[in-house]
Amino acid sequence: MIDLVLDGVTGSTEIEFDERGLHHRHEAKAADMPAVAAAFRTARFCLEHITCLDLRQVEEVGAFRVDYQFNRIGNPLDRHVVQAIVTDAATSITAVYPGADWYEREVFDMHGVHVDGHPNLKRLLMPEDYTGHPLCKDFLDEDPERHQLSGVVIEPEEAAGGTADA
Amino acid sequence: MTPLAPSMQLVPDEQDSETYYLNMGPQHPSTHGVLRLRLHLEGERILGVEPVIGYGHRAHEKMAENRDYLQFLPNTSRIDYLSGMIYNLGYCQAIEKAMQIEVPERAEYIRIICGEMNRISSHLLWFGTYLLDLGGFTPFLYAFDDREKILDILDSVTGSRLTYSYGRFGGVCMDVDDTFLRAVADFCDYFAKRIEEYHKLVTHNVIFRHRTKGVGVMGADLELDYAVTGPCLRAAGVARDVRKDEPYGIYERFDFDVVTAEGGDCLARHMVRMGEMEQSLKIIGQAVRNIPDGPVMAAKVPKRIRPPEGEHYFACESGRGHFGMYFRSDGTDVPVRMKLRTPSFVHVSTMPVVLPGTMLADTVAILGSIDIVIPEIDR
Amino acid sequence: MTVFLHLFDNPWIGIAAGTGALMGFVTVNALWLIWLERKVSARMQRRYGPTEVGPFGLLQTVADMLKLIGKELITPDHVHRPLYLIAPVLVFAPLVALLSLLPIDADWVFHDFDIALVLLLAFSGLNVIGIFAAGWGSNNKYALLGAVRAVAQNISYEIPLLLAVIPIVLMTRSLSLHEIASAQAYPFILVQPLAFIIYFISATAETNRAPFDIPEAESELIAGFHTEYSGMRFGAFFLAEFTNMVIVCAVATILFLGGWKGPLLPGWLWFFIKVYGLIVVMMIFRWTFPRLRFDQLMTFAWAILVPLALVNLLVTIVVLKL
Repeated sequence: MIDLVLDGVTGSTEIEFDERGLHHRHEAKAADMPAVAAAFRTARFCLEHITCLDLRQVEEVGAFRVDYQFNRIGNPLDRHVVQAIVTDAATSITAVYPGADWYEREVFDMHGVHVDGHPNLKRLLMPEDYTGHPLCKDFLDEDPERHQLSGVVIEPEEAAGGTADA
Repeated sequence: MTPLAPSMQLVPDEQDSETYYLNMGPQHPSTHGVLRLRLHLEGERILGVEPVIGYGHRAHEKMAENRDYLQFLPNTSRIDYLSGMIYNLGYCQAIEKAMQIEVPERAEYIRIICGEMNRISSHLLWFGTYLLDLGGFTPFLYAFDDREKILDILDSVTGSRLTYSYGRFGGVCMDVDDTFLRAVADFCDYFAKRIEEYHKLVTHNVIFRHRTKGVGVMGADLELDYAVTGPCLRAAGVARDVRKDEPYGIYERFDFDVVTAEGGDCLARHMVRMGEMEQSLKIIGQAVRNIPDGPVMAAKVPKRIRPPEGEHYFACESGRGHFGMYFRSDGTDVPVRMKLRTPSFVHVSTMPVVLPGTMLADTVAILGSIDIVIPEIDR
Repeated sequence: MTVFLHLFDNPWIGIAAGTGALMGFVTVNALWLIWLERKVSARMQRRYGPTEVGPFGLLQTVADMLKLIGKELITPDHVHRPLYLIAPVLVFAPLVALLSLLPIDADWVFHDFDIALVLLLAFSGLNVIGIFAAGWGSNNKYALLGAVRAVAQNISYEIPLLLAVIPIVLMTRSLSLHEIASAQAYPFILVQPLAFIIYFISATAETNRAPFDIPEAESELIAGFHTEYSGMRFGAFFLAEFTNMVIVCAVATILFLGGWKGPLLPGWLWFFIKVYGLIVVMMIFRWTFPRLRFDQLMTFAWAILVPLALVNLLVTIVVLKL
């Protein structure tokens, strides 16, 4: 039972809570997320987390998907997941939920999904000068410089030909 | 609607000579792990804070994508090593819920006992280290003395002291005997008296009250904005606890209160955690009295764990707050994505809102009172 | 010192011998006090403390001192060398000089100075200069924070210290420690309990002991003003702290507890019992209370101790006049 008006979503399904732990799933466009988030905020939901999934290899999706989970405060328990397929960039909802700040930075850091409108989009967990996005499915950490121990230099030819772990 | 908290980017201003920047760096006695706080100070007053995390990033979520569900089980304890049992059992319960595996009664009771003992040991460690940060060296040793008792009891049945792999999909891996139950019951009696001592030694101490009363107020409005959970939220007067809101395991059979306090300051958080320890004792007492006989492992557990396709979510209440696991399965052995929603991640992100305006000594008090575990933030 | 000056023909040898004796006392005192601290704190914390090295762990401190002396004296690149190097000396030297003023028994004093009390209070102030030199010279933000806090704290707590001592001076009409101790037919703490409490609290703050150990607050400032010091230079600060403790407790004994007076046992034994008893009380403070926040510390000094001390002084004056 949805007692909030969600204009920005393109589709909604109810989910069996006992099997999935969630009540509703919605799909939305990445650009509409601030409006959707504002609707949840008005209905006094809190933002539980923002996750990105690398579904580029999955045929039905073929792109990154950013999932936003909203949870109602108080009774009855109500969990919504809004799934936004991201083709070029996601839109930041930090204006609505300040707590989204770090989650969106992590999405950028781990998956490389740019978030438009984010006040401080820089890496969160990895060092700031790191290249690569670790949670992408095609991430290969074969940068020879990164595997340098003190005094041991792996030549690029060795790294390309042999094993990459030092 | 509260205004947007500035995502603090501390860029030193060359013209500004009245203020200075201090690095409470990754190595610091009071940041409880490798957390870096870039502080912008004027004298002793904090003007701005930028937490820098990632020093303890171990790629648990990436590991989850490359291991099957059973192989990931030991990882779960190490995400938050202080609530290792709770996370471990929570992960088992998440998979059991997805796979619709029935857990025998005795295993459920054992899980409750071990989980609540773990919660007490986590709060005891918080208590000791918090006082250490404030300068009182002695309660640390008393708390660790009690914690040793818990660790010994849990060690006798699980084989580990800190990071447990005790749960299995369908129950727990080893049964407990009467010695264990007697030791738990004895510990409960002993610890109830110790909490009184701690209240006398610490809670009523005038210096402690001066350092914590009115310091670091985290109001209930932070909940909506940041999704603060756990004792930090309950200290603001909001009675939310995963064990009551969406009971998992057999928590609905137990009679316990959700401890709240008013004010949202450090003292309130202290009182909430002390109260939670007492409530845990209550739960453990009920569990020990009512534990039935029977098997501790489900009769039919599938050999290959393949949760149904799609997204699943499971939440449990750890020592720090609401721990959520959101994972997507595609019907194979290995999850497509495992997201670990940890409470400390959120709590540290509130620091740029809570800390400015306080004094440097309060930073230590506030950081200690929100009870963060850095590996949980960085995963 | 006068004793030693007359003992030897050559006054220079006398001075050297006197200084040597004082340094010997400082070292032995530190060895014994560090052991005592470790034992007292251990017993309060349900553990044993040093037990292995020597009987009851008595030689543990000797081992630690040898280790400390053997350490490399690392001088970081970025420090201001003159201040950095002279700071331990500035902290340590005045206290050694002050030890020569303390009368241990009715006829046992190195140097009977008739304004000894003034000298004591003045030299305690020199302590602050040393601490500040250490913090400033270290060229390190944490050390500077510690030094700034130390200066503010020490200067603030000197006022109640002085105000608590003045009633005693008025009562005995003398500034000489020897005369004050001799004049006590009954310990002055019985008539000046408030002054004793104020003095003792201020003395704990002057020696930077917990709950007033903000300048070296371990959990906030790494090690405060002596962050950049290692090896024997750190040892100098450490020794200075323990010597300071002895001096302030000795002054408390002389002013309030009757110095060497007591039945049965020889005077010097009573003196040491009283001094080390007060030191044990200081140690118990350290291991019981958390640390006060800096502004609370200052409020306590200025808004509570100073008015109380002034009231006490006024009452003393009125009572003495009558």
